[in-house]
Amino acid sequence: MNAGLPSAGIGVTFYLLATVAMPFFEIWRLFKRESGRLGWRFILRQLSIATNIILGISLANLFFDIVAPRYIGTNRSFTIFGQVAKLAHISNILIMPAILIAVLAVIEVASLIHVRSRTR
Amino acid sequence: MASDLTIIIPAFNEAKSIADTVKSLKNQTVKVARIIVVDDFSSDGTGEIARAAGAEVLRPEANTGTKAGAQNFALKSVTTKFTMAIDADTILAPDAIERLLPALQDPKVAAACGFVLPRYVRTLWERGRYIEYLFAFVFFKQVQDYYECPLISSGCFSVYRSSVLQANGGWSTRTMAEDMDLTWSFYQAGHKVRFVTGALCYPIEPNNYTFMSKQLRRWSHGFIQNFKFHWRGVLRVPYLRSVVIIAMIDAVIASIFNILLLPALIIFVSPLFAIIYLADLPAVMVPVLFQAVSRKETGLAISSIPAYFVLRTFNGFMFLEALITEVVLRRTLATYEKGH
Repeated sequence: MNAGLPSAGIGVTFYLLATVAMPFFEIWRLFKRESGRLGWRFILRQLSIATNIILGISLANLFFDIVAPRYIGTNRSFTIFGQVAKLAHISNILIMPAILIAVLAVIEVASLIHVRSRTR
Repeated sequence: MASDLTIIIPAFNEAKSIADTVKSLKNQTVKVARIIVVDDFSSDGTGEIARAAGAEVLRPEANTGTKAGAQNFALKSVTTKFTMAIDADTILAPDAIERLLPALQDPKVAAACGFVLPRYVRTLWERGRYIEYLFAFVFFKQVQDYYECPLISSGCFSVYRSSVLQANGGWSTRTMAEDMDLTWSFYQAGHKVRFVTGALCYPIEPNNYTFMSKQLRRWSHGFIQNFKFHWRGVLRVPYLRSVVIIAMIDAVIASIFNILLLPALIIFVSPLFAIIYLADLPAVMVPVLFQAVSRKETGLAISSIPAYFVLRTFNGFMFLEALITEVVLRRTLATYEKGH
């Protein structure tokens, strides 16, 4: 999160994607014969952080996957929690990335429209 | 390069900390041309203490009302190539300026900022902020800098190219987050901003509820005010537009979910829903421990995690209040209160 601002996880997903994209940007720079400012050591360090974050999220998902089904069908509140835990699992791997991609697409379209309307 | 730097320290009733700040600047590995403390009509002897510590003291005829106002008061007299702003409660690592200045060798760079850590990590609030900073500066800010787009050049410790800063009219008083306003203005004008990991600063963070609530109120309102003011211009800046809009959407969803929806589920459906508050604990811990281990602060980081979750919930409350006030009620926060 950014210090002082709350976060629901979309931001983390964005920065994870941005980190995974770094090696591709760096290779593109090499192709253009430009030198990267921060270098491969920096990229590998950030990739290491991102990989471990993804691993941590995966462990949380595993927890939901193992714990949730045990409680479905036992009593009402556990059943509801089990269903929500499943939803949280799906949210991490599908819903958050989907929201993020949709938001990024809207942002780029909005910027194109805004730039074109200013140049007219 | 070292002698071409003026440091501005805005100070209103900072008698307890100003001497340490001036001392840490005088003990830097590079010497600076001027250290100016703007004694913003303090009533606790801040000016006298700063003068005794070796700073040049300027005192306006009346309180300027804001940190930006105090900084602008000194900016008028700056003639050096670079200007640094530092808070009156912040100290620097001895080589912080030496590490930061090279970032401004690129003439396109208008500002550079450093790594921020709380000076004291004792109370619940300081511990929560410690975790927040470790996460933000180890992960988010590093990625932003790779894409040449740090979201903010932190007002507590940044160096600016004086000509660009003065051309901008200094720091604006139109929002509660003048550092964010300045940074986004630089981007829209085509300048660059850099983040330097090795340039460390240690501000005194809020250590109680009153101090923290006033700071978070400023930050939350400041972010929304800047979003309202800059969103059209930010749309023209690649990557920044994604960072800003995603930060806004993330904060809105988090506030509504953590403060309204989840508590309702906990109270009316099942207390087990409280576990969802901890769902992102692994994601938070990784960057935090990454840095904490290298700083030999693993125990401090682990023991501060519960405080982070308290602060995060409080962040949500403050952001929701700011959202309702600024957007729904259309009442702009205009009074700058530091809180101590």
